[in-house]
Order: sequence, then C-alpha cells, then structure tokens
Amino acid sequence: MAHEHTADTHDHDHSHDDHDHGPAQGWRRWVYATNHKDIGTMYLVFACVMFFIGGFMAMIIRAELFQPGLQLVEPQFFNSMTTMHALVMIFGAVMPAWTGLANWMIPMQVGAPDMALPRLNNFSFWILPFAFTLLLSTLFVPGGSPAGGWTLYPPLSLQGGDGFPMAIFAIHLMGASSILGSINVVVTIMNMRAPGVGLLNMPLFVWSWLITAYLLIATMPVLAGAVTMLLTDHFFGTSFFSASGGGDPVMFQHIFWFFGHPEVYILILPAFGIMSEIIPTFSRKPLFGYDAMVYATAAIAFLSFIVWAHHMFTVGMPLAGQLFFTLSTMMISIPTGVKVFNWTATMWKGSLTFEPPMLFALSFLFLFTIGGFSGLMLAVVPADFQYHDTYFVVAHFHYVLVPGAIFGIMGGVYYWLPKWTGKMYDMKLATWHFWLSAIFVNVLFFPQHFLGLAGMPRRIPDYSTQFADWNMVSSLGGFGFGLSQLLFPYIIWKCIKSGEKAGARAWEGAHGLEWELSSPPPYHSWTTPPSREVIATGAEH
Amino acid sequence: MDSRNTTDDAGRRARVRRSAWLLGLVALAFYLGFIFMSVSRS
Repeated sequence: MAHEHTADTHDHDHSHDDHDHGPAQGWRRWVYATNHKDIGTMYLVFACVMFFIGGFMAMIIRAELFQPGLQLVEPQFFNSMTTMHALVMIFGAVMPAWTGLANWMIPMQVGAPDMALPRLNNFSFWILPFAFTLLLSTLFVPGGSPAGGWTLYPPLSLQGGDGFPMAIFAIHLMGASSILGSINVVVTIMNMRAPGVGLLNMPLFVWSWLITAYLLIATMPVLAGAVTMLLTDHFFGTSFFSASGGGDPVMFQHIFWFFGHPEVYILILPAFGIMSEIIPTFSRKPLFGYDAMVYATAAIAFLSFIVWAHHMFTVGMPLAGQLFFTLSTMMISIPTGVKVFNWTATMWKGSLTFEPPMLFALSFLFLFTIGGFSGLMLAVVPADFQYHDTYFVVAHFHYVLVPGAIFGIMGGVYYWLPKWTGKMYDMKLATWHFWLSAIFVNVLFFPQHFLGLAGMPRRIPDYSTQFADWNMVSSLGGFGFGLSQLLFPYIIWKCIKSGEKAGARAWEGAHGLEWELSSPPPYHSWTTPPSREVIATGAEH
Repeated sequence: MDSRNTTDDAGRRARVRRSAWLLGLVALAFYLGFIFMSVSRS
C-alpha cells in the first residue's frame, strides 16, 4: 500500500488541489468539518469535557471512600460510578484525546495536506457525542446505569435495568467511531506520506499510531461481538453466556479480554510515541535506537494478543495455560524495557532542560515503570490469586493509565500547543500544574498498593476499619489531583487569549516536519509536499 | 493542470478507497468471526 510517487512527480504546480480557503464561519465550521485540525480540536475538547465528567465520578467514589461506612451514596449508585467512571475515561477521554492528537499531528508529520478520508473523519467524531449522551443518560433511567463493572461480565451485567441496552448501543457506537477513525489513520499513513518520508523515517508518534490503529481494527469488533451476544442473551433468548441454556459465562471473559488487553496498549502506545518526540527535543539529541523503538512497539502490539487470560487466572485454567500466560505476559517487559532503556540513553549526556512537556515525560518514565512492575507482580499466578480483585489491581492500572496515558496526553498537548495556537503558554503555571499533578497522583494511588496487599477488595462502597487511614490519604490525594486539573483548561484558554507569540520551531531542539510549518500552521498543512531538503532538516532525529 | 498529477491523484484515490474497504472488511470479519466461534461452541 506504500505510495509509489517519485520526487519529481511532486515538483509540479499543485494549485489545483491547494484548497487554500479558510475555515467556514460559525457552527458550519464544526458540524460540517472536514479539516484535520478542526476535527482534531473537536476530539480534544470532547476528551477534555469527558475527562472532567469522569473525574467528577472519581471524586464521588473517593468522597464515599474517605471513611468507612456508607455516607454519601447508595451502594448501587456507587457501583454505577465505578463502572461509568471507567467507561467514560477509557472510551470518552483517553481514546478521543489520542484520536485528536492523531488528527492534528499525523498529516503535519507525514507531509500531507489532510487526512485521507476527511468526511469519514467528520462522521467518526460526530458519532461520539451521541454515544456518550446515550451512555450518560442511563444515569436517569429506571434501574440506573450499568453497575457490574466496565468489563460487563455476565450474568451480573444481564441483570441491569433499562440502562443495559442503552449502554450496549453506546459501546457499539464508540466502537464504530474508533474503527472508522483507525481506518482513516492507517490509510493516511500508508497512502499520504510525502515523497521522501519513508516508513523507517516517520516520527515515532506516527509509528505508534499506525500500530495502535491496527490493534483497534482487530479488537474493537471483538468487543462489539461480545456485547452483541450479551444483548441477544438478554432480549432474544440466546444462551451464549448462560450456563442454564448450555452457554459459558467464562467464554465472555475470554472474548472480552481478547479485546481488553490490546485495549490497554491502545491507550498507552501513542504515549510511547509522544515520549519519543519530547525526550529527544529537550535532551537536544537524536532518539537513541530509532529502529529498535519501532520493532519494540510492534512486538508489544503482537504480544498484547497472546496475554489476555492473565486477567482471569482465578477462574481456573490448566497449568499449561497458567504457564503460557504468565510467560507471555512477562515477555512484554522485554520490548518495554528496550523502550525505557532507549529513552534513558537518549537523555544520557544530553543538554537537558525541564520545560513542562519534559517534566511530564520524565514523570511518565518513572511512574509508568512503577505500573509496569506491579503488572509483572500480577502476572505471577500464585501472587495474582492474592491480588486479584483487590485495590492492588486498582493501583496498578491507575499507575499505567494516569501518569502513563493521561500524562502522555498532557505532555503532548504542552509540547504541540505553541505549534497549534502560534502562542506560548504560561510556563510557570504549567510547571505548577505538573508538580501538583505529579505529587497528588502518588498520594492518590500509591497507598492503594498497601490497601490491596492488606486485602481491601475493589468495587465496594464500605470497608473494614483497618483500611481507614490509607483510604483517607488516597481520597485527599484524589481531591488534590482533581482540583489541580482545573489548571489545564485554564492554561490552554489563557494561551489562546493572551499567550506570547511562538516561533515556527517553538522548542530549540525540536525536529520533525510539523516544526517546518508556521505557528499556527496553515489551514491545510502541506498543500505542496515538502521538499527533500525540508524533510532532511525536519527528520534530523 | 498537469495530466501526470491527475493520474497520480486518481491512482492514490483508488488506493485510499481500496485500503479503506479492505480494513473495513477485516474489522467485519473479526466481528462476525467471534460471534460465529461462540455459536459453534455453544
């Protein structure tokens, strides 16, 4: 599928496809948007709104858990909050934020004027507000919203009220949006690269997104299949997952986690790509081991398909199965270790400076690695029998997803914001945002390791009094983390309103085609493909 | 307008459309494949 153009093909006048008109005015610009930057902005704004809605749910959870006993909410509503918090954060905040960043950056980084399928791009985005209106409105229907956990395990999930089919339909819509968005990403990268932008000199953010998009295309339909079968079990008398009808509830867990584990990498691989952009820039050195980084990303993606049953050791499986899934899970640490080593080697003897994107990247490096290590602990079957369904698991995946995925997104936004807006943000305030986030995220999640090791189960609104102290600490960290996130939209708003002008290459050490465009970039990025000289300058790292 | 560019663009459009359909079919195959697998196991 790789493009076959030669350089001279593109030396001709391209005025016929310049489309150098500006944006439409008013609401039409957004509703009929086909421009990758406009759609990218809408994805990012949507993700930010969902991040605060999901964050508000987390505050309810932490407020209830502040001390033992039932204080604020009914147990059923508490369970709805844990379920909805996960669904909103995963499908509403993190995934759309990555798609927003992909929309903004991929055409600029591969030397294309726009995404390959702009109208499909519009459709992919506009599915999302409907999907989440549907999902959030389950809070107001009889029976409430789904409360059996985001994993939707039957038979518990089948006991839901009117919200159950609404949530299933919402998940189908989110899946359709993700699949269409991913098709667009793959097709853009494989067909729209400028002559001279080869597969092995693309920026690593583009590479990580290419691999993520393949993961999405392969796994989102599996989730859709699983929830379709839940729907037919509930309404059409089938027995896919009902033991009384000859079905097997454990089969749902297998199918769900065949989607669910690659999903973890869908959430984190683009962050790896962003780290590989930020760290060389602020180390003023080329990335160490570019090829190894590409192969490591591909290896992680491949391995993510053969580890799913480590999420369900406790349902029981043959010894050979336990050994296979333990070893395959541990193997993921090899390519991940290659990445951590290469980022560290990139910084070695570099001229480091610590602007906000670099602070988020360094924090990612330390804290994501903690999440990785606790993941290795969970991969050991006898240990997992102890940790399963405790707060240790909650601590583990929040270390991966908050200082991992969320810090990756924030680092990326702080890195490219001057490019997008043509203005520099308030660095002092952004540094405050970083330190408050980095401190409170640890106060919030580190004690949850202790709680889990002491045996506190997850998804409960009340707990034994011996867990009281660390829960109080964790809740205080949660409130601090939640409040400090309000700085993020304020910093962005202030940057747009009154930021100082930023140059085309906003960061001294930045390389890549996006930095060869003006800040802000033209409405259509590369109406004429960049010359080989520009590509050579841009791709120095 | 350069005729070579027009041919080139048409070729690229065809490739874009072809690869988009192919990926869509792959997604559909995963969706139906897993349901079929479950039907045959039930």
